[in-house]
This record gives sequence, structure tokens and C-alpha cells, in this order.
Amino acid sequence: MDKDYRLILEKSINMNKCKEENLIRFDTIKVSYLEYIIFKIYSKVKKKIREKSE
Amino acid sequence: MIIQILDTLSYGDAVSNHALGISKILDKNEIENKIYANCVDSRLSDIAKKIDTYTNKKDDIVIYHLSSGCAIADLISSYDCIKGIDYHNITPACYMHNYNKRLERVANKGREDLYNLRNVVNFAWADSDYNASELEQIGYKCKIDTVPIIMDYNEYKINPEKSILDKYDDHGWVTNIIFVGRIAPNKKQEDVIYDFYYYKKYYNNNSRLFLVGNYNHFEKYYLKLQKLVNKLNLETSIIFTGHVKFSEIIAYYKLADLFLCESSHEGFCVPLIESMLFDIPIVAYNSSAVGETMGDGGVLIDDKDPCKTAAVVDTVINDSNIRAIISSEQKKRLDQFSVHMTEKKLINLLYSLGGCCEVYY
Repeated sequence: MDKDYRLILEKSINMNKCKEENLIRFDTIKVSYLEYIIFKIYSKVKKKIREKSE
Repeated sequence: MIIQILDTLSYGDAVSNHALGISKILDKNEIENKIYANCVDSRLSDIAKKIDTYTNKKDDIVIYHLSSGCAIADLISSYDCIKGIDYHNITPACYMHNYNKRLERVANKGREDLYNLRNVVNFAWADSDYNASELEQIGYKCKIDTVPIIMDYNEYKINPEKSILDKYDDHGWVTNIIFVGRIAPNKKQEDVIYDFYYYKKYYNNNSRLFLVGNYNHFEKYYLKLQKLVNKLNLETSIIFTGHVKFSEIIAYYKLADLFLCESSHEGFCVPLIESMLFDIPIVAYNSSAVGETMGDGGVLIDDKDPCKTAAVVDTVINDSNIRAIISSEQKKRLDQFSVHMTEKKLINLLYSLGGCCEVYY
């Protein structure tokens, strides 16, 4: 992207609308082993169904 | 004969498609060639054979596609012929650490293989200059050339999956943002979700995010993403497609108003080129090979500030002048990656490897 174009874009951006918030941090989200195992089984079943339909 | 070797030849992944693309070019130029792999998708068993059926001959030229660790790398060293690697990069193992121990080991083995082959191969190819520079840093002394991923744009001229269009096509009422790529920690889908949260809340409530890609092997990461989506109350606006057929990917591209990429590690990033092909403006975080693949197309962002990214997304979607410039630049970039351009380079490179083929350009 040439410099002139970047300048046009920089000038056009409206940053004022957006307010920074204290959102939940991704690294604090935990997945339990039970959740993981249940989902693994669910994924395997889903995959088999999909393969059969294809 | 040109022998291409890879760990897995599967249906639809970038490295397999690249190997098949090379094979097609060689066939077209009447250059004898074969593909061998550890695992071959049953749908491709006519095209490729299992690696244990290959007997190395002195006149062969072996191209080993390296994108992960596997036992084949040790075999390559034993071949008594001209041999080289086509380096597609290896996702750094640190990204897998908390999510998949087996893949973490495979990635580490890949880095070991890459290092061990540095004095074994006679030539090296890389998808991007970014990948080529990694080879130089590791200590590859042979000639290194950049050969972009082969993409035949004609293959994208198929009908999009009607059921997807019927479900989501609302004639422009909803703005559709898309990211295409397997659900994996290095792709940083969480950052795309944060960007989308701000965009939807402060700029456009009538918007939707499609995260198109398979979550196989990264179920834990996928569950974390889902929890994040729930905590941000975006369950009805963010769609995880899971594994999709090619015609379904085409449908999602047809629906998209903007491609948003926050990936931290890409050796090339095929979906960027696909977005250019479907004339979708791209906003992407400037990491690894992303900036190089985009060239002068799309908008590159140097920092991870979701407020700023949301503002850029809004500007690109609403400002038709800016969109027109992006579209024109992306078209130019697309031409540079056309299969014709890559074919020319590839054949010249093979010819330079010792007159293996009598084709002149």
C-alpha cells in the first residue's frame, strides 16, 4: 500500500466512537478436562456422521 | 524423474494442493513425475503412492515438502540423487504447548529435521521470502529460491453451496466479516473475536463474523473461543463453521464483506489470496509472511489494538473510495501469484537443477 493511500486511510478512520473496555482476558478462560473429553467424543461422532454423508 | 515426497497427501490442505499443483504443471510440460507420502487420502490413491513403495534412483530429483516433523526426513538423507526441500514453514511449537502435546512434539521434530537437512539438500525452495530467510538463518548454504504456493484460480469457479447462501444471504442487510483458517492458537481467532466485539458494539450492530475452519486437534482452544464468545454475548453473531466442503468455503467467501486476519504465524497464508480472488477487502495484522503475501493489497495493521482495528474495519466497509483502491491493488497482487507466473519460475528452476527437463522459456 503506498504512503498516500495509508494517509487517506489514517485520516478517514473514526477512532472517537470506540471506548476501550475491561473485557475478559483470553488467557484466564479455563476448560475443564471433563468438558474437553465430552467435546472430543462429540467431535468424533460428528466426524463419522459427516464422513458417511459425504 | 521428479519425485515429490510429503508426510500426508490429504484433500484440501495448502501443502497437498501445492504438491498436486506442481504435479499438474509437470504433467502439462510432459515431465515425468510421481508423488509419494506416508499417508495418502483414499480419494488421491490414483495420484500418489505410499513412501515405502519408492525405490530411489540416481537420476531422480527429489523434492521433500517440509511442513512438520516426520520420519521421512531421515530417509531423504539416505537418497543418492539430487534432492531438495520445499519449505512451507512449521508452526512454532509454543503455540501448541497448552493445547496439543502430540502436535507440539511433531512441530519440534520438524524444526530438528529442518536443521539436520541443512547440509544434506542440494537446493531449497520456500513459499515466501519470510520462509527463505528462516532457512538462511538456520544455516542453509545451498541455493534458496522463493516459489509461491501454486493456486489455480479456475478451481474456484464452482457453484457455492446453496444451503449456506440461503441461510445467510440477506442482500446486504447484515455485514459479514470472515476469517478462514483452521481453529488453531497461532491463528489468534480470539483477537478476531475482540475486534468484532468492538466493531459490532460501536460501529455496526447488524454484523456477523464467520470463523471458517476445522477445529480438529485443537478442541481445547475451540472450547475456550466458545466460552469467550458466550462471555461477550456474541453467540448469535459469531458462527464457527467447523469442517467445511470446498463449495461451502466458496459460499462463505461470496457472502463476505471483509476478511479480517489477526494471525501471528503464517508461512504464506492462502486465504489472503483467496479473498483477493473474491474481491474481498482485507484487514490484517502485520506478522510473519502476511505482509509479504498481501504486498500492496489490503490494509496492514502493525499493532493489536481491537479499538483501532474495529475503526479500520468500519472505514474500509463504508468508504467506497478506499475500497476501490484496495480492490485495484489486490487485483494487481493476485496477478503476481497466478499459476502461469509460478509455472514459469518452477520449470526454470527445475531446468537449472541439471537439465532434468528439456523445456525452455
